Amino acid sequence: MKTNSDTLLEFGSIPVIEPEYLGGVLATSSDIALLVDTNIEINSLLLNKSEKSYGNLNHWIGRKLTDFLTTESIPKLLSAITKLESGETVLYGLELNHVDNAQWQFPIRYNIHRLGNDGKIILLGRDLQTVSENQQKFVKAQIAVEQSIEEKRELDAHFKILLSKTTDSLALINAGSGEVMFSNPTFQETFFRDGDDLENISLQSLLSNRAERKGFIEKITIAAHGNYDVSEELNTNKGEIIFSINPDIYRAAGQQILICKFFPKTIRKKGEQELIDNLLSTFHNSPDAIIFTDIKGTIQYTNERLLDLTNSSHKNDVVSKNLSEFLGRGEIDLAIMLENVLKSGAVKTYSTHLKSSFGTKIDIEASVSRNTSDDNGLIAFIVREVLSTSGSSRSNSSQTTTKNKDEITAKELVGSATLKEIVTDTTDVIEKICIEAALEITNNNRAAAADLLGLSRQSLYVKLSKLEI
Amino acid sequence: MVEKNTKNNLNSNELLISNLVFSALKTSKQHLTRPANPEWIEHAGQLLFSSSLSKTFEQDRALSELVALGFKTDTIVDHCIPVAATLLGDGWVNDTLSFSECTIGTSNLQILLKFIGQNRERACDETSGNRYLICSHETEQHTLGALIIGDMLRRKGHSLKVQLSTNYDEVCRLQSTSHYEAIFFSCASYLSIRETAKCVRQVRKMLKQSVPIFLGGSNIEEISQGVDLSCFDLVTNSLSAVNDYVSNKKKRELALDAGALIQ
Repeated sequence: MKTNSDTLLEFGSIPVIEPEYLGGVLATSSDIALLVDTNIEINSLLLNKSEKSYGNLNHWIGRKLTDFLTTESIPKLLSAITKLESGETVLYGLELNHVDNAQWQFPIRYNIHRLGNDGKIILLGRDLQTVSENQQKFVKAQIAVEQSIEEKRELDAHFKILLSKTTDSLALINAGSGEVMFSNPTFQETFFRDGDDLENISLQSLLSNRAERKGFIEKITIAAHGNYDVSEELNTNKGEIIFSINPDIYRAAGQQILICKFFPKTIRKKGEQELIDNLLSTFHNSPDAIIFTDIKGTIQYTNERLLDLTNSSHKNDVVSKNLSEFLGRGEIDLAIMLENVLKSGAVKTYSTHLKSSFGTKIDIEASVSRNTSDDNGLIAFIVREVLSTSGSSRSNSSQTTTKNKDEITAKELVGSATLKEIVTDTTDVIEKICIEAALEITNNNRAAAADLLGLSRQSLYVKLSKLEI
Repeated sequence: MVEKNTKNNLNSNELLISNLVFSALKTSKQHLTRPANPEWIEHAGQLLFSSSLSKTFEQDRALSELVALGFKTDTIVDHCIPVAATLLGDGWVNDTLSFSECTIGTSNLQILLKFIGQNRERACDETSGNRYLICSHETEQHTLGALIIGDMLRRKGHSLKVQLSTNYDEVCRLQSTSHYEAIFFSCASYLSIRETAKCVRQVRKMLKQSVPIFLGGSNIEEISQGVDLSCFDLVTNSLSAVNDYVSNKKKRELALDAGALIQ
């Protein structure tokens, strides 16, 4: 047989099939064969005799084929017919979903051909029901998997919340290897610093005495079975501290898991009391103001030096007030320092002014750190009066480091959005920060905030609405 | 001395402005993740479409390819995966893909979505956002849309329960026990949108309290023609519209409660 690229069988390469045989050929070479006219009306329908599942489809004859197709299949059929009418050959298989009285659906893959110039079209279809059933099973299985992942996610959320709300240091440890499988934030804050890699950490690696590491997990396992605590000196991020370890043991997924709670013992190590005494002396006698605030900037403790710098007569004039009240740029200064200290743990040098109760300003440099040893998470500010430019070199070096980090941020941003978008968005953010700061400073007095920002009230209202403040 | 003070003030101001600008840049960076050129998204969607149909599809390799092109994972979820899914759907409509290929391709996109979600650090404190029930009806075979919406909402701090292949009994049970602030249905086919609307009408009848119910889906305009969707509070693909609707409803209820207390 000869073929060409369009019709596959060249004219004359196969013998003429007599009509009484053609029906049989069509009925056996396809599962369903439909003869439709120019109005897409079904003139004739042939079913493969071995195909019993369709039942009787004689009621299709004389009706439009589109009456028995699902909504999404109709445009596909019409598109293929348009191609045939324009003289093209539809070489691809046409997947259509049949529907009959909305009772059931079945998918058929058709080959569609023109029979002559009278507009008659024949569709030879192969049943895809088996494929479709397998696909349905696959989709059902996938949905079941998705649903179980969602359920796991829900349990994960409960588990994480439970861990994070447990105030004691808590860790789940593989009793075979000593690997810390899960731990809560208190445990992580006690034994590690920000940025430490917590992967593949073992409990025995926390032991101060390296010689005791071998056999330590067995010791804890025995204690768990015997229901008693073990005292050990462990390396924390604040040095070596003696802990009472309260272990318990359970089995999950074929593994033996130790659940350990760690309680620091109050026994002070040699020299620790001396250090505390020295720190207290430094706090009271320092030529710099030392201020402890909560994470919102409310002053909790300060030494006398802050009273000198702000011309305040009594500690009650500063304690419980917000530090921003004494800073040159108020909320803006405080927000920048707090944001940085909460992100990176410390701010080396930050230059601004301090306002005295008489309204005068003095130049200051502040260094800020977070006091993680305290559950209240206090922030420590050391504020130094700048009397000369001697400190500028340190300040410059700090600025250089910050600049390098910021340049990296800028490099990451450039390319991910256009300059116009970056500038517009950044401007919006700056406007938002400044307006929020102005509103904070003025206790939400919009008229005063507009004055402070050099804006008309109308302009401020427009910006408040635009920025959703 | 005056000169020195001025110089110090200048340094201090420069540092302040610099900090402010870079703080703003960092904030902007968090949401300016969409590449500037939409053609990049189309290109990435096309790449993902091709790899989703590959017999050797591997989610980590597909992700690495897009990350190497400069795409952030959030952009991949919000833009690239939906483009690839649309291309798969178009493939079936144009008969260039069989429905089996579409199913496998969509399933691979779903695997990629799950892979990205599982590797993302997720804050477990979801106390500030709204509480949503995200559903797809049992007649809906395409659950990718619901899962993408879920990922987007979770990233914005909302707390969700995703219930796939559900029916009105289950929706009523969940809503009665957990009082979600809104229910969101995702639809992708002509059949499921009709069945979903029917289900929501039954839910409305069964539930004593009124709850906002939304409908979304990437081809919702096309498949919703001729379907009565009056049972939905909003038919939208805009998550901000959904969030605004719920927030405004909460504000109205608070105001009503306050009014009742005063009286």
